[in-house]
Amino acid sequence: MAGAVSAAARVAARVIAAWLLTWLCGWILVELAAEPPARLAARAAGRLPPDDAPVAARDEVIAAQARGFGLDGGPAARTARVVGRALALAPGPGWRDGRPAGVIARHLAGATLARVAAALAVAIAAGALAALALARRRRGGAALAVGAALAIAMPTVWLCQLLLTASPGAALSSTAAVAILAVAPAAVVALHVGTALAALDASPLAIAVAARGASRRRWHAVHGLALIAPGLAPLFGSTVGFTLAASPVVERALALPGAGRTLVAAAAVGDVPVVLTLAAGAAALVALVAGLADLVARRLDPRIAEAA
Amino acid sequence: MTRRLALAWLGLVAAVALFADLVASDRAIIASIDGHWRWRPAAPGATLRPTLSADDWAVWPPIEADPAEVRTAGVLAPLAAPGPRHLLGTDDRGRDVAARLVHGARTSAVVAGVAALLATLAAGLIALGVALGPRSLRAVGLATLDAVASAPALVITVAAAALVGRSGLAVLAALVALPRAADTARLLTAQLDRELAAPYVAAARALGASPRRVLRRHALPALVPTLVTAGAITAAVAVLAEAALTFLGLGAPPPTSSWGELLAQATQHDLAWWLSIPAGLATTATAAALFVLALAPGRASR
Repeated sequence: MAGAVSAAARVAARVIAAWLLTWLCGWILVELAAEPPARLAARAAGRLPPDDAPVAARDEVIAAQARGFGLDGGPAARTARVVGRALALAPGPGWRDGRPAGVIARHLAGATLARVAAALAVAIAAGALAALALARRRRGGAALAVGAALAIAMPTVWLCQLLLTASPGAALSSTAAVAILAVAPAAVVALHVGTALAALDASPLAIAVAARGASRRRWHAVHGLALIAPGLAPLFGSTVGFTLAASPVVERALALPGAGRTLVAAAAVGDVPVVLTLAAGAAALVALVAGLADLVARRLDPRIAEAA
Repeated sequence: MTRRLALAWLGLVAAVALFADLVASDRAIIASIDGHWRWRPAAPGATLRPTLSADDWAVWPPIEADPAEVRTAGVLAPLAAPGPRHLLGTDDRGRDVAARLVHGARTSAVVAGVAALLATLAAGLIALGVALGPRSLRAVGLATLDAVASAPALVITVAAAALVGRSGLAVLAALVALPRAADTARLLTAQLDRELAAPYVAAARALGASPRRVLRRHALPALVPTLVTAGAITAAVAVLAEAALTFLGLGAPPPTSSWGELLAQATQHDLAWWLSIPAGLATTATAAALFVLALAPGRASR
């Protein structure tokens, strides 16, 4: 019981650290920018008067933005206020339209997360199947390594373009987005499973199973995958990050709604609260999944816990 | 075989990046005018050619087009398909795609090289600090590295690029290097711990080697394969991140030629294949070659 509580506390600490660090580092970048935050906020809202406007009018607008968004005071006071809001899980209003950044982030996060989850499920299944199919072939290991390197190396935007060229109806299609998001994680899973199967093939267990008359296919599919499964769990955290990171490109290329597209739109106008909420949310989510995956891996394979 | 192919491709990209001005330019490489040899005369080809007499000569680049030249011979030819005049067609401003592809190699090489160098250096210093620093700070350092390394890199880079603004290739490379440095530092710290606890290090200490000598002669050389692998992966990630960030409008500032910019243009203009295919192939081949190289030291040591 104490072990479970301590593990849960470690995961929680990781999530909080990821959330807070992203906010803090992001805000420090804002403070280091040439323009003061209140001026950036006025620009993001489209309220900054043109360059030839009277200085007094400009200062008045900037002062109003500073009061409205709590951007008055020195850099230390502003940073403390921002970190306090992040700690309270209340990022405050977005600079572009004044809508709460948390609501904007939550509004479209569901669509992105659903696509990422579906892509991961597809990636695990496709990756394992590809590795199993190639493990039975001569020189299958080399083919798998080259294929996986190429799949990981293909720019996501190019994959989208190739798909749209082959099938123009793929735009606005979540299925197409899931397929594209699944390519790189499937290659990672296939590479991991392929390498592990090759190592298992040389084990005494493989010889024993073969001596009892089991086919190579049965050895791989029944025994091999069961032995490899715990090792896949730690991959989950990095793979979620990988897939989540590709979402802005896929959503923009296929014109799909989602948190990634919102992030890019907010980044284009400099809506800092929305950008930081989405980035910190993604970092916290990946930290949560990675932490839980580590726990599952330790549960499934006691050797990992012993090594740690 | 695959490793040799990867090395050959990377060598080609590096050579093209280094000599981009000699491969794709509207200026002669060398010319003999009135008996005087001139290295890269300032006048562009369209101006220089009519002034050359029968005794004068000039060596022209294989791709005789300037990557930033919007008009060619007074005629604006936007999105022209490949032909004898433009081997890979033109982009939406009438600029030669082959020339932009060649100069895009320089952008990718700079971003990849600077990102790999920055991430590796920063990771090395962080790893040394965490592994050799006070024990009280070690847990905090490792937890911070875990938190930064687990963040989705491109999302963080997009956010940071938005906060910093378009500031040039060095800043872009630094933004790409930041998340990779944490990941590499985590790897290096673990390996440094393992090396410092190895029996051969204990033997060296027992023979009277100072901590500095143990580090310099034993522990640090053992980190080289990991550094090479991490550097190659960072370079590959940087090439892909440059393409993604430029597509999202947060990459290299215009009018810099880059492969990502060609891919972004293809999306805006009905997926024009002469914009998409060459840039996509170049990006994929370079990133794949770097991934293959990243796997090579591990294979060799096994």
